[in-house]
Amino acid sequence: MSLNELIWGLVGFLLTLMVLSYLIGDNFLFRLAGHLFIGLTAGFLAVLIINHIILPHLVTPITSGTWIDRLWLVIPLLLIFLLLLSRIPRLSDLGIVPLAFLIGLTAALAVGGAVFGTLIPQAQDVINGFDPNAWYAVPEEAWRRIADGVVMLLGTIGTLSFFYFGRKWKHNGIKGEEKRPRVFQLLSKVGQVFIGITLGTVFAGVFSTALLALIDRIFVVGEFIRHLFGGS
Amino acid sequence: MPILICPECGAENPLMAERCQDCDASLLDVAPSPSIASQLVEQEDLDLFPQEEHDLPDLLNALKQDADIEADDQAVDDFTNPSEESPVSDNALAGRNPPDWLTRIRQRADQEKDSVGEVTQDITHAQHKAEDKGGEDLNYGFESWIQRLRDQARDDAAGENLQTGNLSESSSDEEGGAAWLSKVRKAHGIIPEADGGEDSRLGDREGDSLLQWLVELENGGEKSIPLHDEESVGDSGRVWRMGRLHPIAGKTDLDDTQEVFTEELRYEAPELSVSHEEQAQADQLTAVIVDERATRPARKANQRSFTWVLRLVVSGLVIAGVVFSLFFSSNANLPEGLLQPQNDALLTWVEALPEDASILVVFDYSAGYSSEIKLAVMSVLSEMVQKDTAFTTISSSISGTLLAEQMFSQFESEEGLDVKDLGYFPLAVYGAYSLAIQAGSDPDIASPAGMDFEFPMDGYEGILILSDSYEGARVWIEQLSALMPDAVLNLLVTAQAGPMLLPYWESGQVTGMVSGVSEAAGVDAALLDGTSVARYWRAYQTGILMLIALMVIGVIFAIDRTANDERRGAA
Repeated sequence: MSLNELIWGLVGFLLTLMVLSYLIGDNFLFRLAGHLFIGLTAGFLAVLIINHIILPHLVTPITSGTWIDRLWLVIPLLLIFLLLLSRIPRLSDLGIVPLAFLIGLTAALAVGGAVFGTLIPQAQDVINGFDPNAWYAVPEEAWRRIADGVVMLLGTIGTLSFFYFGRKWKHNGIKGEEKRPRVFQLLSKVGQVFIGITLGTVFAGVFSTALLALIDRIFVVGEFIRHLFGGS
Repeated sequence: MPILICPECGAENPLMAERCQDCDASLLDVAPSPSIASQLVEQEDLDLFPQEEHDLPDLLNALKQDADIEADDQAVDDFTNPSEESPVSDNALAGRNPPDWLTRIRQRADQEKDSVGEVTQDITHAQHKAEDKGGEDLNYGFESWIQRLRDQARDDAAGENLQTGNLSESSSDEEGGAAWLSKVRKAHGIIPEADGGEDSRLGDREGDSLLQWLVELENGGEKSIPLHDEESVGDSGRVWRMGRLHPIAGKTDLDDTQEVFTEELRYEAPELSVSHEEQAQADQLTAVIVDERATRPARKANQRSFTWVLRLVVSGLVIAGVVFSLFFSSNANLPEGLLQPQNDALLTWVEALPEDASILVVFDYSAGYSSEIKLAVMSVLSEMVQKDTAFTTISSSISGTLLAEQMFSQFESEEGLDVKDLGYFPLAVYGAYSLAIQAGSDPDIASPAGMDFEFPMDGYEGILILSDSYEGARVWIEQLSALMPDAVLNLLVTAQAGPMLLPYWESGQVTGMVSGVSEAAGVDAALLDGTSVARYWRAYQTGILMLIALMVIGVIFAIDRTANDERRGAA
């Protein structure tokens, strides 16, 4: 084991122990490790943004780019300037412009991606689940595909019904006894089952990932100790 | 012109309207009534305010007007019939029918909790209090104060009348003037004007402003504030800031630059009236506060230490089990059947990759999940490296660039390894969008300024998305599948992201995917010998079994504890 490996291995070992010390409750070592990670992350992020964003996309085009490149930089520079001016209390309203630009652009990209990348393709997939040609493409699996489509449709409608927030209907025309339509009540129960299964699956996944992270840490610490004492 | 007054909101509507323009209430049964404008014309002789005061809220003007009319009528009565016993203004008020619009404004002021309505309600409340007390606290209400002034002025005037024997002459005499009027002026702090007749009367009204009227209301008639003082500072309490009073329109020239002064007045809070219900609530609140502040025995220390020990023991058991599986058990072969259809699809795509292909690798995971991602990725990457694949990396996580460096450093022994870095994008949606736009356009134009990089002319043979979260992977899938429909997307994700991303594979947006250690073990066994993942897989199985057992034990203890608590509560 080289000196470099020894030092960093020791640092990793100690930090792992400091984090695991939370098992006996909140303590100084755990807080120290937490502060260390947060500080390192903030510092690393600053360096990363300077090296990967500000230098290549702002400084380099100004110093060595063409006039067209420099002209394009007027817009971001102006937005940066407005954002900096927002720190002055009297000019704080000017900061709304770059923030509005940022939020509007992000929302536009997110909505566009959600519609064309998720909503339409997923809806199309549900519809395709009832394509007879697809059912009988493999005759042995026809019933499985049909059942697949039915379950998928039931889950989709049930989940949407569970989140039905429309106006409640009057029950028997009597005010004060308004209830959801019975069909939505029934479907929402089905939706609850699907949502429960989904959340349970997600929880199991989170659990599995956390356990694997623990296993990896134990493995790293164990390997360090083994190498420290001359193991091969 | 007659109008229709909405019974719900009081808004004016045209005569032909069937529904209210404001609240859409039915106006079919509403009888027409004269408009406010026509009523104002009719009441013009009563409108003695300066023009500028019409800008003030209608409510205040209406209240002030009402009080002024009352006072004026009383004064006129005193002038004309000094010896006649004039009734109290309540009787006069009872006989007066205020216009409908004024009645509505008063009703709304009584009901609404705006700034003006609150003041009015305070005044009304104070008046009711004074009435309830049977006149004991006459100084409190404005009317009682006015009444007292009037009585005093009337008595004085009657006394002077007896001395001079000619009231009409004395009323028109400027210097001799009515003593009651002088007293009223003195009480109001008004300097009498030199002009007599109507001008003198208007001059009096010039000082009798809305501000003074309000101030006197607040002070209950005990204090009169000089109007043109620049500053009047009270002892303490609420600070009133109002504009300077304006002269009557048409009588004095108005200028735009009105002087503004500040008056600080002593505010006397109205007496509180507490109902039985409110008193009961206050008592309950007091009891709660006392109960919260009561000293209680501290929790037993042994119970806390027991929890601490239990937690440590349970964690120690899990760690010991994992350590045993990792380091002390024999290597076992991976079980069959770990490969899922989506894993098969990924393997098929990897095996079909041509030599010298270009692959884009997206790093969208944190360092904490690197072990799980590496289990799934390393076997796939090693297969690609053997085919002299050119890699391009892009990251949307903070540690993405370092993780990419570390991952590809394990293939440094391979000759001709070609890895280019596109850099870090703070937001995945921007990175995905710009990548999709630039990769799909002319490479000469698409190369970002300041970057020594060109996208492959023929595009990428495939894109590998390495992610630890559903949200991060979804953003990349959405943008790339929408803007680069021909791109081949493959997912290598953690177990927590896998289930939510499976629909993208089922819909065909994603070609293949691997999630979690179990699928990674299957892929590793198919591509390599599976030994690198087998150890983790075994420890994972042990850990899962132990945690399930601990959960069951915990549930049993929790049920038992709940039963004990219920028994204790019942006892």
